[in-house]
Amino acid sequence: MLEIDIAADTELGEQAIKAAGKFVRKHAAPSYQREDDWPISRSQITGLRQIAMNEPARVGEFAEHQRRKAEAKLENTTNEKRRQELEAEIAFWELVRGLCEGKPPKFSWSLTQARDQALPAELHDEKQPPGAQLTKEQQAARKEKREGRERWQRQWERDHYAAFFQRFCIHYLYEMSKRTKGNEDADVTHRRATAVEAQAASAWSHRLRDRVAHWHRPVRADFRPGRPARCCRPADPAGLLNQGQTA
Amino acid sequence: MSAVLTPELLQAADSFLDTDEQHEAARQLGWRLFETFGADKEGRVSTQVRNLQQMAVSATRFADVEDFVKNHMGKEKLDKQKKPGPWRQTGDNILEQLKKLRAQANQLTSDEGQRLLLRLHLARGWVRAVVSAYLYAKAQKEMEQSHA
Repeated sequence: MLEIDIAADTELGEQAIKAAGKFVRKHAAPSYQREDDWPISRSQITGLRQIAMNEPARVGEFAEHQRRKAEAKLENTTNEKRRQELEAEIAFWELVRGLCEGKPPKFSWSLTQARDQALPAELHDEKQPPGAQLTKEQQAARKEKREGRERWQRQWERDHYAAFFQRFCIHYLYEMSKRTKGNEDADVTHRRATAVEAQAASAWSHRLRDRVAHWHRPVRADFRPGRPARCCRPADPAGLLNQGQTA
Repeated sequence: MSAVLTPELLQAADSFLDTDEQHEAARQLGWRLFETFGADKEGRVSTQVRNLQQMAVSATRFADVEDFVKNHMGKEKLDKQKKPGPWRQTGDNILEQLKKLRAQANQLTSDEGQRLLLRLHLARGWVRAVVSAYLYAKAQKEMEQSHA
């Protein structure tokens, strides 16, 4: 069992769910009726997850790039609804960047903070007094330590970014699917649709019954053979009564 | 990290899985899974149910099982009749039961390593019970059809 398995199953996962849930609660407007209305599309989420898996060190940079793109669009947009969507998109990429590199007080937790806390004591950088002269051996040891620290950080990021953004992205899509109108209260919608269908079927059978009753009504007293019937057969576009009756 | 599960912890976890409440919950979910997913075209166990079982049995993180369910729910859209897909119909129930397993593991020990192992142990026991109930429902349906 690895440390990352425990982290992914506890703090890392909890932070990811908390962040995604908080964003959705704050920015998911009731006007998002379809998935396409959501500021961050499914494909963008997939892209984020892939970058976190393949190039964890570049997630912050990617988020910043996306934020700038959204900001540029916002400047040229006058439509109020679209502006709100772009503002939500900007907030999303700011959140992603904050989750990667955020510092307190704005971000009480971030992956960088968690990484620095987890750094083993033997890899910590020792501050040198100003103007300190180091021997060649000391410089070499320092360099070796720095390389070791960087290796450790890269490994930590590979493991943790992938696990964190997997949970974050899956939870975002899960919330999106739950909140998109139509999927929200899907069972209720389904029951309502079934009730409407039942109502329509009932109305249809009532109409059919009335029509059949109409054809079986008693023959009028003034009816004479050879004369056209006073009452014509009602229109039957659906062909419900194509087994004709004679008056 | 080398946490191990003591026999006492294993016994406590198994006792929890064997309670009437857990048994009934697994039975109901198994039936629900059969009603929703049915069997595949050739009458074999639904691939989705098999995948859920495989995930619970092989996962190294309990969160992977939760993510598996959420991922399927997140992917699904309503069909033309506005009817939710099978995962949307059953997913919340599954997640609810997984949440109970997580809470139970937290109750039994405070060591995070042991908790993870316990969660996985509970998930495996749970999925066994659920899939057994699914298979029983499937067998009953087949017997009804053969007697009809």
